[in-house]
Amino acid sequence: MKAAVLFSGGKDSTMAAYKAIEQGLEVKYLISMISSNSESYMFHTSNIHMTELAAQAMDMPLSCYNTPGIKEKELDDLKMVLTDMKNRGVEAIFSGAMYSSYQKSRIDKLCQDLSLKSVSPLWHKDPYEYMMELVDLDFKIILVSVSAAGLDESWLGREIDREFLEDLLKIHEKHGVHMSFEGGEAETLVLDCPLFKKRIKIKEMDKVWDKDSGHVNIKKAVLVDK
Amino acid sequence: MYDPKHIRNIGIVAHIDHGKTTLSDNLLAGAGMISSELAGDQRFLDFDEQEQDRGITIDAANVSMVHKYKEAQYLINLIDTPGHVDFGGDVTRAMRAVDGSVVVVCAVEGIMPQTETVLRQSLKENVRPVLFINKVDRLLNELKLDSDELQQRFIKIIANANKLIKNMAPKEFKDKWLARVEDGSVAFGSAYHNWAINIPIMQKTGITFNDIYEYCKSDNQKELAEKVPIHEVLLGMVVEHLPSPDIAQRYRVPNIWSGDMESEEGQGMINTNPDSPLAVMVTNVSIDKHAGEIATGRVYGGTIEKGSEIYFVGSMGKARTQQVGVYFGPERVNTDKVPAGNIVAITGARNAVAGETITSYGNKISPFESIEHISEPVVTVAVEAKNTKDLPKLIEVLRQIGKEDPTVRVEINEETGEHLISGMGELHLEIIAYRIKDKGVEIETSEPIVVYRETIAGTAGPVEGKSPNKHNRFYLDIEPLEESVFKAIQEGDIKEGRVKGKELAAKFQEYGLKKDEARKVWDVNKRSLFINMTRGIQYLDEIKELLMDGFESTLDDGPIAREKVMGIKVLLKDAKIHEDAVHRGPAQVLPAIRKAVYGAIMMAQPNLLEPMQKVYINTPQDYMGAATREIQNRRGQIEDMSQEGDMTTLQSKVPVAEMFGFAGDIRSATEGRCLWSTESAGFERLPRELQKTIITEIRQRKGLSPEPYGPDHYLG
Ligand SMILES: Nc1nc2c(ncn2[C@@H]2O[C@H](COP(=O)(O)OP(=O)(O)OP(=O)(O)O)[C@@H](O)[C@H]2O)c(=O)[nH]1
Ligand SMILES: [Mg+2]
Repeated sequence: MKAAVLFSGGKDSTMAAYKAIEQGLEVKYLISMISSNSESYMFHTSNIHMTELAAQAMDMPLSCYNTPGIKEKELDDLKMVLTDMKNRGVEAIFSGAMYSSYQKSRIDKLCQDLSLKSVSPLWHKDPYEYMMELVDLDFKIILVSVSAAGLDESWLGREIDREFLEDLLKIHEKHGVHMSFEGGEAETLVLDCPLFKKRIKIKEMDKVWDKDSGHVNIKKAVLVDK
Repeated sequence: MYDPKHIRNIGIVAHIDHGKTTLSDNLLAGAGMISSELAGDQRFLDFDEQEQDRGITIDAANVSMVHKYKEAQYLINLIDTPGHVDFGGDVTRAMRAVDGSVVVVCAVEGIMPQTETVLRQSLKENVRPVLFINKVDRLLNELKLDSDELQQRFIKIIANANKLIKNMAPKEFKDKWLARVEDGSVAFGSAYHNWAINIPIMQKTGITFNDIYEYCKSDNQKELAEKVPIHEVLLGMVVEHLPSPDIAQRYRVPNIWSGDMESEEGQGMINTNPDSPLAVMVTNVSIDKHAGEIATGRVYGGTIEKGSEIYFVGSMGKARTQQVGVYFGPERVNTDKVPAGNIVAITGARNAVAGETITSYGNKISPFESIEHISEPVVTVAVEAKNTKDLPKLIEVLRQIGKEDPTVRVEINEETGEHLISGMGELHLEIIAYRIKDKGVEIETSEPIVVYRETIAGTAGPVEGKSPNKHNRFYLDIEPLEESVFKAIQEGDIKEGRVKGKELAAKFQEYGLKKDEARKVWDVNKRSLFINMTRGIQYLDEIKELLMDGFESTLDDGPIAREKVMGIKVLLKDAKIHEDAVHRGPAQVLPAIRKAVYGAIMMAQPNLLEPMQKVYINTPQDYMGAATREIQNRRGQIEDMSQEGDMTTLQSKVPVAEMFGFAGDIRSATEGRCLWSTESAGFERLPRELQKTIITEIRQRKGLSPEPYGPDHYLG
């Protein structure tokens, strides 16, 4: 079966691609929705330009689409993209939704209308076990944005490893931050994982902090041999 | 054991130094419970070393005595309470244990502010007062009044007391509880010289005001004390006019217990039934060197037995009573069981705190209303252990102190080892420091620091608070809370807490809240309101508790200097809430609402308030100037001045921040010839010219940036 993955370069969509391949599907496309609204309800926005590099690292074709990212209207844009995919022979759409029924229900609905199969392989996984799985599988992930009580500037750019998870557990207990950031508490970027043939190396970046949230701007990154 | 009809539970209350302990001592001695040599001058009941040294009562003392009246024996359980404002919490708690109070008024000073306070504390708990006008000997021997003037003075004091009673008594008792000369619910006398008299006894004995005048003038009060011994007169008055527990519980229980009156336990308490489910209200916890924690409380229903399993309704804990005891004279004596209507001392009630409700294990009852003390801590000191080996012990001792004295606020910081203790005043903290040392821990204490409050003088809104993920937004207006509502909360007429349904709407309206707002109050906290003015916003109900958590936490540390906020009204006008539960969790909603409230406060003329004290000084005319200067040098205002004979009484209001060291200074300014007392007077705006300096000072002490952030830091 031919599949396409809604891909942002973050941990969940990369994991969705990983699962698709693990399940024996042929991933024909990575789909990137590039939203011009930084507060989009549907699409991740931090460093979305990095998807290009990630797709190269995985050696997979990337389809980029622009959307103004206006609430509910952005769905029309997605519908157009999925129609396009369908026309190109794709049968299943993979996404990285875990607990966000807002995202999942909308994708499900669009897929149903187009008789595409909608697959969310991470749906309702235990967040902590999921994060451990990422670490165990040697995903190299950094936080490129944080926005939640308890997550201060020191979390920006930090790599997810065991120590990270221990610290996060404390913040989770104190502030109720979701253990895999499903509430949008942070966005991530995958620099390396088993799917990558080369890994991403960041050469230049800066951090922007505003009150209680912040993000990393990656200015220059390259692929290097693993 | 005495049946409820033959018990009286009473508290002795008064302004500081009006003679409560001298009176209590002499009642005990008169009833044969202690030797008369120990009573009075020695102040037997002030047995603590600090109490003896300072000549004041610090801890309320429980005692009992037996009195024969009209052929029957009565058990009188008596609590001698402290008069100093710093220890007013003890009075509030004692009033929950008793059914009647003897309000002692010094004939020379008359009704003082603290007299009004204790009367209020008594009446609020539906505790009936009777009046004892004390130190009558001084009126005659020092102020040289004649017998006519003497009577005029009594009439004035009684009229003033009755005005207060009429104002503050529960509706059904406004008239019944007035002090009446003719029926003997007022007595006058001298606790020190051991005599007292009232009109019925004057009629019976034939002693007249002129006779009293003569006895005092001719230095023959001893004979008077033989004719009209103080214990006979006062205990007679107590038995006659103060209610027995079985009568009092009928109207007191509905006022202090919000459970179902028709239930078995409700009926049990109303009827002071020793066979109904156990219901004890803990009113005091003290640590006995030998027996450990002793919880003293009032048994309202059922019977508490030695060795039985008990259940703490509030903390949901369990314990086994090792001993149950009653007071016999000044001693605690153990017994097998203590039935409803009595005051009990429980050993083994580990982890009980004052305010806790006790029932038998396996039983379920609603808790008693919490005991709210009106004043709050205004002074803080930091304490540190001198020796590192004492670090853990200090923490243990601090926890104990917090348990023994619920008016103390202890903040333990295990990381820095610097703990904060907040209390009602400088003296309170001195005593606490002393008691820590007494428990074997050497400590260093910082200079006392005043506790401030934050509030607003203007309005702002709508302001928008966004969650970090920007998907939740709250729109607020902010206004100063109506003065009348503020006062009603302060005085306990409106209770703090989250509002369920519309139960309080009428009350809010009665105190001046607009009708549409009155129906929509969600939360009453720190004398501030959170009102939901929105209509039909989806998901709002699901995050309601979070919004209140956020609101309450902003009041705990305000944006100006991280001091507590009070007197604000926050109106939620609109909200945008993410439909997905994971996107509107606490990590999103809490910062959003906090930022909105902070930003709004900073836009609405933020202001620091400082605690004030009323200071009363009584000094000979010659020192009046020196005393006045002492007040004026401390940013104080003289509010009233009156003169009587050679004595001048000065009434003033002074910021607590300026009161440190006052005791020593006023003593030397008047060469020791003055009496003074204080009374807390709430918070007032810090003068404009001091705002900035003090804010910077507090912020730097707390390790914050010297200037508070502006609204932009929180909004947009
Ligand atoms: N002349 C005279 N002095 C009295 C009388 N009653 C009490 N005093 C004195 O007044 C002072 C204060 O008396 P206390 O009994 O300690 O007063 P208190 O009300 O218990 O004081 P606190 O507990 O500290 O509020 C003592 O010096 C007593 O000797 C009295 O009837 N006549
Ligand atoms: Mg006393």
